[in-house]
Amino acid sequence: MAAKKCQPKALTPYLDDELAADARQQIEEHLRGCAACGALLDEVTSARERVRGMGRALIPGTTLMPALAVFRERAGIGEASRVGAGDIQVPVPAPVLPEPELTAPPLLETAVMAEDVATDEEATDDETDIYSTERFRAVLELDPVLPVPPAVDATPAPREALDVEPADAPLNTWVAMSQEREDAHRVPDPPVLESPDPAQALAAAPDPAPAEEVAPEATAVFEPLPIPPPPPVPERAIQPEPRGEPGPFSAIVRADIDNDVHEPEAEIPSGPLPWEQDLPSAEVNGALVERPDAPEPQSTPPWVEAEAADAEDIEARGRRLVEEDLAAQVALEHEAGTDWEPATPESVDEPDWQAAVAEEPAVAEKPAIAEPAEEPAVAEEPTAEPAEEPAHAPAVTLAPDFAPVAEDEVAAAVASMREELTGPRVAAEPAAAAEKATVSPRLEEYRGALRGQRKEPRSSAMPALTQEMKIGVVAASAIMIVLVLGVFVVPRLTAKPSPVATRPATHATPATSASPAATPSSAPSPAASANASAIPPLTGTITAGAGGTGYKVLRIRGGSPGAGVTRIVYDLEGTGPAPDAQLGRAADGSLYIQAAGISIDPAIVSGFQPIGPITGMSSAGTGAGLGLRLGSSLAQSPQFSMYYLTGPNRLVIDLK
Amino acid sequence: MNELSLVLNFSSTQPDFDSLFLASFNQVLSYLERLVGDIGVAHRLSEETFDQLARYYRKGKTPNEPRSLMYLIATARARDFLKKGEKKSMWQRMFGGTSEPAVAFNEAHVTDLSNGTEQRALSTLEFNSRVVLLLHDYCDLNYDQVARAAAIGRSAVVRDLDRARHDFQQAYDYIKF
Repeated sequence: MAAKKCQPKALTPYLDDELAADARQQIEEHLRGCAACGALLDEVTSARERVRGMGRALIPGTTLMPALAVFRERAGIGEASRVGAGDIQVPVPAPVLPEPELTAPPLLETAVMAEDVATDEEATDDETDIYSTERFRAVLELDPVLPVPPAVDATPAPREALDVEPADAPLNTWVAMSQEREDAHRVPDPPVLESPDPAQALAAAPDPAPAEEVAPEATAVFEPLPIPPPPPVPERAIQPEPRGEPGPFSAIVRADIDNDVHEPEAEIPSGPLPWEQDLPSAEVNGALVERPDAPEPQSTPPWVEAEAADAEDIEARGRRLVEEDLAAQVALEHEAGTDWEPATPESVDEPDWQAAVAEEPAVAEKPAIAEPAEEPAVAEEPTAEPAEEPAHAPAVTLAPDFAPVAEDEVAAAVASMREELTGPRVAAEPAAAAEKATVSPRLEEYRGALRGQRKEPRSSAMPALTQEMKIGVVAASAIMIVLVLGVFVVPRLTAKPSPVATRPATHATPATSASPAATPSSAPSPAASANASAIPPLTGTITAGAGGTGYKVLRIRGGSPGAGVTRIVYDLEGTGPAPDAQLGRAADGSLYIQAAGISIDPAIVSGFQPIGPITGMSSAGTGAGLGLRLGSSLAQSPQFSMYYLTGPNRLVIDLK
Repeated sequence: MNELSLVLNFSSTQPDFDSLFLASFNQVLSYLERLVGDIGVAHRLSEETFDQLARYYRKGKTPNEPRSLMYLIATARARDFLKKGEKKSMWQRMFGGTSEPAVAFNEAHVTDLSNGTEQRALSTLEFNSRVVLLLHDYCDLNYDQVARAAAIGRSAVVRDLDRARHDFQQAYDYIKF
């Protein structure tokens, strides 16, 4: 039955003779009557023979012998067994094994084989014509950079394509061969055509090869693709984004903001400023002549707007402008009779500052404040009424027009402010870029401080750190941290006693030495009676437990589970990990058990009945917790083990 | 079934390095050329294979199954090349020396490696199937040796070899006809 079942997976091991005799016989019997399996066997047989028939490299042994010495030298192999080149036969392609004797239907077998042979020969001839060595060599020799037609299935180019060198030239470097392979596959760069006419360049170039030997794609000239003109952009699309209809003042502010972000400055309006527009003139409204609305203080200090001047000049100029505004306002109020108490030299907080401002030479030299040139005449006016307003003298130092000022003077002050705002920037426009490069960083910091950002200007005493200095600082910091850790942390870690060394293991493990030091306790347990003997040095100590505490012995039981084992069980009450316990042998043969985390009632100890080799149990030790001595009647101390059991909790000691 | 197991059991009945090199270099070169499809790369990988193989012959010892070990190294080299290409690790770039080729040959010695249809059919197979097919049918290794050289089990060799032969034949028929 099994012989008639198709086993296609077994055909390959059957073909390779990897089956047992009985399995092979079953396959043979099945193949006699199954044409499908016979066809499959033919398929795998054909594949195997084709792979076996593939060519191999044939490097002679005389060429390999020098290389063998190189390999031995590289690997450091001694002169163990040298083999002559003639002793080794270079393998030749494996011979085609004879076809296995199959019992497939003869018609099917002969038909397939005949078709294979016929098509193989035809295809081989065609393939030879297509990939002939001479043809590719001719193409590559004429123009090595011509692209080789790539393979359809992305396999490497035919071997014949590498025949660019004479056949006798040794290929002793794989780099050269790989480079040739890359060159063969390299797509040439488009030629740079100096002549605008590609046809002329093509005609001037030498004919690389006869037309019939060069592939069409190889003779194609790489013409530069015409660059299409950019698509027409609507005129509206390149216009600046509309920002509504800003007024003249907003235009100024925006222009200043835009200047900060390096955008084209908006055109500064030439018309009157907003407050000038709202300011009624004396001709229109005479009532306002006496109390004209003074120009309100600028929302942004003047020194913030200016960019082309030094920061100190800006500060001085801004302060001066503010003082002028205040002086103008005071003058108007004085004229209207609603003025304040004029300042006196004593009331001025910073007389030196005022003097410094008054003596500031840069203020007088600034072209933007040319209007005070006529001020001296005005400043001399107070001399007409020196007795009436003596207190104005200090203020005159700041702004010499503390005398009643006419409206035209107010207008002149406003005009000067406008000129101060607009004039220097426009005048300094050509040099703004150069000056901004040196002033802007510091000015920006100062602006930030003025705007309440509390950003102090950077001190020039601390120069900027270079990259090397930063790296050095970081490295020094890292070294310092390592040193600190090494000095302070590591000794503490190493000096700390290891808990593993002192903590007993969870399971009972025999220890090499035992010296249970009796630790004194201020509160001895009930088990520590007055007549308790001290625990002598123990040997063969075993430990159990996991460091728990709070356990109490409920009772002690004894018995024998068999096999000559005497078992003593301590029934415990408590929760948590098992307490640490030690069991060891004393010199007199008795056993001592000690557990600091277990308490026991002396009555339980005294009620213990001898069992097996244990003749009695008594309290021992002066430490806290459980300390018992188990007397033994044996001349030789018994073997012992100790372990914990849970559910219920028990401490078990086995003696044998 | 790994490289270590092929090395630990030293045997005195196995061929020494000289015999193995002289008898197998052509076969290894051909095998690697069939795997990677480039004679230059195959040449370099072959020499790297024998360089590494020679280190197992130090102190006069012969590794167990040196032929399988040789193809195991060659297969690993080819797999690394197909996966990573010519990339080198930073360690190799900094400290790796450049070794000159030890074996010189000319174009006539590798002319037989040009077999377009079979090579194309092979290139359609997966790498593992290609390895098994070449190791068994091209390098004449038995199933056990193929399993050692390909670092797979024997049953996997049977399965992969059967599938590789079917796939190869189908690809060959498709390309050829």
